[in-house]
Amino acid sequence: MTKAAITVKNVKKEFKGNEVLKGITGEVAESQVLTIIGPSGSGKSTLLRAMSQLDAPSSGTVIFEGEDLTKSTKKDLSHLGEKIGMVFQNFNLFPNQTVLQNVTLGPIRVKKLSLEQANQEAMFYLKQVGMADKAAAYPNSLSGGQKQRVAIARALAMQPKVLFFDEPTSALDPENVKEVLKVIQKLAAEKMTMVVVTHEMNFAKKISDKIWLMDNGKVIEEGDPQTIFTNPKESLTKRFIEQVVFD
Amino acid sequence: MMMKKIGAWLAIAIASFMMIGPGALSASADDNSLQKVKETGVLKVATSPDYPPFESQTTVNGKTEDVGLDIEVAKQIAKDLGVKLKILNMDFGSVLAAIQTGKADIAIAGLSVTDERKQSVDFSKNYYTGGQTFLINKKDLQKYPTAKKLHGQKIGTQTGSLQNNLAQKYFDDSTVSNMDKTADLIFALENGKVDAVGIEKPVAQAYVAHNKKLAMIDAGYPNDSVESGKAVAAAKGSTSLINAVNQSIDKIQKNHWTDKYLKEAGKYVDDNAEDTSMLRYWHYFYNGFLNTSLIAVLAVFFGILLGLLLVMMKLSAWKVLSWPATAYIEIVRGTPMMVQVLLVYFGLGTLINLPALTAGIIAVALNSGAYVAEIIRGGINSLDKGQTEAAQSIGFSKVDTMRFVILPQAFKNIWPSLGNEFISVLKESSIVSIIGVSDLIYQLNVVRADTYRAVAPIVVVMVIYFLMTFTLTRLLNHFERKMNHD
Repeated sequence: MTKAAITVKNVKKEFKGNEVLKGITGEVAESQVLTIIGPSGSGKSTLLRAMSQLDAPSSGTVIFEGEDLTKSTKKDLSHLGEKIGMVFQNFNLFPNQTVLQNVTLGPIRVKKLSLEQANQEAMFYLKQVGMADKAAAYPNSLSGGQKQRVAIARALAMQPKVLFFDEPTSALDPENVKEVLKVIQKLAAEKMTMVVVTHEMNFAKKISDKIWLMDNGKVIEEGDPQTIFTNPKESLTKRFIEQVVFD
Repeated sequence: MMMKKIGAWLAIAIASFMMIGPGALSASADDNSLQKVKETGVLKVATSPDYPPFESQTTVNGKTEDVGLDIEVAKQIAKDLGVKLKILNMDFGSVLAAIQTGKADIAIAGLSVTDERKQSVDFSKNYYTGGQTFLINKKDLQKYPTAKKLHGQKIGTQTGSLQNNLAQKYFDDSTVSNMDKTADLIFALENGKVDAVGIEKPVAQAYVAHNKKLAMIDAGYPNDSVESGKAVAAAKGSTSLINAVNQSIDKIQKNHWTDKYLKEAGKYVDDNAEDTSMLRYWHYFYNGFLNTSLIAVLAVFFGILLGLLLVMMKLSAWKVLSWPATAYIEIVRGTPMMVQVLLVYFGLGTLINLPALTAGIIAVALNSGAYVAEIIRGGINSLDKGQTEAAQSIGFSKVDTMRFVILPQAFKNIWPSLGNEFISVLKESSIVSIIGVSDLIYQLNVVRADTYRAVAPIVVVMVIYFLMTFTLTRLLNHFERKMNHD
């Protein structure tokens, strides 16, 4: 049995009396990839943000490294940034900093690395995502795919235990999707623990160890890619898979 | 929601009360007015140096000096008391406030004794009794040989002056209009906007001597009604100080020194009016330029610091911080800067002794801070929420997020608005001239009074202001372009 990296228990989230997450329970094992799929508005991103504590859940527990994150103080949570990485749909690079600075800012300010060491490590991660040659560029001169790869390098530079991806390719032009997925796939091969929300079904099928299918604020089916895509138990899952694959 | 509203109103009420508080405490108890002057060894005299021959400024060996009848009287009083004399120059409208709030010990500013003024300040004996006259255009002398012919005509007087009261009382069938500055009234007369200007005899004499187009006629007010004596004013209850002043005035009158003083003052007026080229007054304008620049630069600098503090307070989750900031911004933005300048100088002045320039800078900075806070808040709000989240996701604290991610971007976005604020501070700081800060506008009034020229000084000051704002705009644009290259 592999060890759990993150465990969620009965996680609920309300927005102005509207229940968006209706009690989610489950876990992500270390060195594994969990992919969350489902129709728009089903609560995928909300769940991801609740797990990463970007938007704390209304109730329920999120256990990371034996600690209940929902009971942590703000100060503890800011240290989480070091251990939990996040890649956003809209990249959210800092436009006033160069590519290199975007990657080194966290290690310097939070991990207190020296500038030299931070630069050295940043170049290593930029190489890993194939962006080393753009180190001196500003984000606005990059394509969407390039921006997202820099964002991944920025998250990796903090050497996180878990990496969350919130629809990392949704804002990209089709020709840029592949380069980003390749980087994520490489990370999966290197046994990085990851939670990915995505609409790319083929990609989900390829990299996932486990898939959650969400609908209306609930995980309606959990299983390995094989089961979910070829032999789902739930009729809702079947309908969703058919729709997205043939659309 | 309701509670929140009530709380906001409460905060505003408390802030207003705190602003009013110090003034309300200044009611006098025992009369230690004379003792205070003797203890400090300085007699502080409030005056308004744009009223020659009573008081004006002139240049002696490159230094600006206060001269005139009133200044000589002040010198004599200080001499008799055995203390040093300190002249505080300010707008005429602020002179009485200065003694009421303890900024100055006495006011000598060509003040006529009126019943209204008697209710708020104490007066000494008259040190000078002149007459009331009207200035008219010389070409109208046949039309208005005596003041009687002025009934039904347009008469101009200085705002809040005795002449205004008299004209309204005895020429109730005429249109009486007011202006702040004598120089403006004369200009209105020359341009036919008014037919006559109600004015004190010595002042009128000086004008007639230097302006060939003007003539003077007696106002012909009934003798008993004219309280046209000039007296020294002090705060209510300053009996001991007034008594001491009266002794000096007795001495001056016994020796007929007033005539000597007036003659002396007339000489300066002659000197000033002989060569009225603006070039001769360059250092007045230069000083005004320096002070206006100093006020603007310091006010913007501290305004930005204060703005940052206010915006952090306002964005804080703690209501103890956010409410006062909100109340402060609302109050400052909802009241005229002129009122704020007066409040800082006279209100804060009852607690600590602030020089006018310092008070002016503080007032403008306090005002600018509220506007800068709103500009910065706008800049922060215009940023994508994702920026904060991204900073949070790499473990940044709130402070680091502000410092390295939010503020640099916000400042870049608001640079043009901040530049505009700088330019408007530069222009609107002109209001500090009312408390006697010698900025460009103040110098403008001094030069107008000295030269008897109404328009030329205005043009000079306008050109200086324009050159300042124009240069500033170019500079700001340059930096903006430089930032956008990043």
